[in-house]
Amino acid sequence: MLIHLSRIQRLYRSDEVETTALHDIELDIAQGEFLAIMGPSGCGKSTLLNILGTIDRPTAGSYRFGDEELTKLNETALARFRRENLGYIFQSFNLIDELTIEENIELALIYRNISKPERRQRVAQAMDRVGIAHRARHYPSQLSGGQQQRAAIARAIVGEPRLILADEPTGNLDTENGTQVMDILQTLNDEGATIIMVTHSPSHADLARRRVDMLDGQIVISVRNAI
Amino acid sequence: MIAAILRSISRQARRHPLYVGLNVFGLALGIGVFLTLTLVVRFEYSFNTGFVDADRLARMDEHWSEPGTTPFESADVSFRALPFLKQDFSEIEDAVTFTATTLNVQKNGQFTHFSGRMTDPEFFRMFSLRLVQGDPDTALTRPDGLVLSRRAAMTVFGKSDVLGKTIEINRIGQKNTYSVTGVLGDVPSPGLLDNVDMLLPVPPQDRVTRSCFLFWGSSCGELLLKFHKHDDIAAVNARLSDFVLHRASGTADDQISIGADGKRVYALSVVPLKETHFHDSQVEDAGSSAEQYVIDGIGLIGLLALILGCANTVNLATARAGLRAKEVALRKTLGASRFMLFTQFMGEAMVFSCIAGLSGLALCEICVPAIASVTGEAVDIDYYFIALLLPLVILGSGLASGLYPSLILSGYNPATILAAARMPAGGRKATMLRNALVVAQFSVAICIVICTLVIDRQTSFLRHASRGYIQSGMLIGQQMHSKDIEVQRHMLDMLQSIPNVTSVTLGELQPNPHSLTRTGFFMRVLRDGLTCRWSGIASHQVTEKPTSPACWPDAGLMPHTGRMMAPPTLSLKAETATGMLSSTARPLCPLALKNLMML
Ligand SMILES: Nc1ncnc2c1ncn2[C@@H]1O[C@H](COP(=O)(O)OP(=O)(O)OP(=O)(O)O)[C@@H](O)[C@H]1O
Ligand SMILES: [Mg+2]
Repeated sequence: MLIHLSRIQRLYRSDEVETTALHDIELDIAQGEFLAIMGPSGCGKSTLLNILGTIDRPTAGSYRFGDEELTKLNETALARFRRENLGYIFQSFNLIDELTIEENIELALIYRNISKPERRQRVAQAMDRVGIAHRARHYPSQLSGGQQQRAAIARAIVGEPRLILADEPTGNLDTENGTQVMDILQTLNDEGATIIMVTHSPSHADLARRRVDMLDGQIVISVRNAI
Repeated sequence: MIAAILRSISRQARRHPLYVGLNVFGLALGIGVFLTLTLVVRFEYSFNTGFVDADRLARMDEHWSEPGTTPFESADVSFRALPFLKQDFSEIEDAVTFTATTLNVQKNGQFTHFSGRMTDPEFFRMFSLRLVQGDPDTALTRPDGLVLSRRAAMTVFGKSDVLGKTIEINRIGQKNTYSVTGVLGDVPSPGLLDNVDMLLPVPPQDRVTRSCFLFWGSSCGELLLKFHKHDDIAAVNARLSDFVLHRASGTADDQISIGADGKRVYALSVVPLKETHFHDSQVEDAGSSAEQYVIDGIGLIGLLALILGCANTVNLATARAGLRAKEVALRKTLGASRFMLFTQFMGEAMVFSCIAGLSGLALCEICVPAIASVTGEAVDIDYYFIALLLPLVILGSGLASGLYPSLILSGYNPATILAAARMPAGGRKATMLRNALVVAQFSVAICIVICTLVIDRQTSFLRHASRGYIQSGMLIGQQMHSKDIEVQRHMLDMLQSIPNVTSVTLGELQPNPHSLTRTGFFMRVLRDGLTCRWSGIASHQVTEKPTSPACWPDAGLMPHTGRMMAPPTLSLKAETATGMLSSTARPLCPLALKNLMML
């Protein structure tokens, strides 16, 4: 098992109200899996993904990644964990406007001990894979939504992470671009990457190997797709 | 790392030139003002500190409190104490006289004025001064010895290799030939020897004939002392009243002492030489001086300017932090640790601070010469000092302006920002800090504006206030030092004969409403009228009138009550308690009339 979540809970506390975004989540994810998470808005999908991506901490429960108990790590160790193991894809791309596409992708490598020439080479390969090599020197604002999302995917894969997390990667794209993105994700999964994707599109969820449905912070159904 | 920071900054400069410009400009202004004012303050605090053993050097001052006058302190003292000082105080290592005198050198028919000091042969030893030429121990032992500054040597001879050359010097109307026995190199500045061109020995006959050396209560020049230890200064100060009682008091009509009640009207004190610059703002006849609280105030303003510059940067950076939130969150998600981000933002602040520091230095280089020319003070940029101070300032302002924004930025929680598309501007605390900073910035700025307005109003009041006489068309010049009353009269006649000159007069003071109360000459006239000297006997006080009254109407001066006095005359019109001076006394006791007025 690559990932083992047990009794994960996430509470949001403000002065007046207490929201339970996640409630006793139990989830195992194997190496090489392609998991789709579905559910109505506000059911806790992004919260779960953020906890899986360690940019949010559960208020209770255990999160094991490989042999490591991540809930026990401090901020610095978690930062190291993220740069070595994770790739992130967001619905709204989250490219930095001030950086060129090339530089945005390189950002995933600069906090790792990788030489400049090697970084260049890996960025070029990643751009080739998603088909945006010809836009390397452009700024995000000069690209279409589909191109931006492909750049974001390039950024997520350039570090060859063990786990790719995608929060509604096709949410802001038209059908054609959405299909392109799904094609890339499937190829990555075929090559061995573990992918967890949140989506509102049943057809895209069907492309994954497994699908879990959430409701009110809980996992209600887990189905294995026959592919 | 550094490359990444520089790239980030150049990117910001390209994308947000206004932000970067304001940021750097504000800080540069603060640093520039801080550096400039610090140099001014340092200059004012450095008077006489450059001498070897500066804290063992001191000056002896006199304090007068004549009945019916305002007590005052004077640095121009009698040299009568000189022979007794080392005798009575074992703490004193050396003591020399130091008298300012103007020296005139005639070259190709033209007079050049030099600022000279008459002193004693021990002077160079006492101040541990070396000569670039000549022997400091013997340079002033010859009565015709003369030590030149390098600049004076260049002016007079056109070269600095001038040992043994002779030079004819005109001093107080007397010509004497001197032989160059030394050339002074660089001297500690600012201080005692600023702008001093020539040093010459006290003429030997002066010690036996000049009132300076003979009578207590004469006012001659400075008396400089060197003590064995710094603490000795205080010890000697405590015993000076006994010294006055023992050495300076006498009987009512003896000529040498202060008189029977000497201790009541007269006192001595020793002022550490390093403190004279500030001390002299309270001292009559002293050289350049400054009010310490004014200088401290200037330093404070410099510090405030620096703080304002930093506050401005913190403001701008925290306000912009929100805009960088997405970048921070993303970098964190991609594996940047908080420390990495902190160093990145701190580094950016440091680079901004560096650029601002260098720009501030450039500003300082423009301001300092301007200040020097406006104030006439020889403030200059000491680059060794700057090399020490500027890195500290850059580091300090970088830390001050970068710490808080860096902490805020690196502390953002990526999940809240990326998932919720919420754009925090640093939260409520940051807003409060920003408000506080803005209020502080504006308060200080408003204070400075108010102060400037007040100073401006005062200056304009001073400029336009009626002074009780007509200023336009009036020329005021220095009177030639001549004891010969006929020479003065002749000069007045010559000036009077210049076309369009309506009247000429001599005066001790320039006309102003307070002239009469400001000064008093204390004369003691002996019954036979043959000698006179300054003294402090109330019954013999005469007060000199500021100008010859005949000129008053031309200058628009009218007496408030009473009548105009006698027609202009150069004769001394002195009233004593009992009556007029005898006419025979007149040529022997000319008043030193300092100002010449032409109307
Ligand atoms: N920072 C927060 N403070 C308080 N409540 C929060 C916070 N973030 C999320 N929540 C709450 O947690 C619950 C789950 O939110 P989450 O963003 O995970 O939903 P989601 O399933 O991703 O919805 P969507 O499909 O609309 O993206 C919601 O009820 C939301 O209001
Ligand atoms: Mg969501």
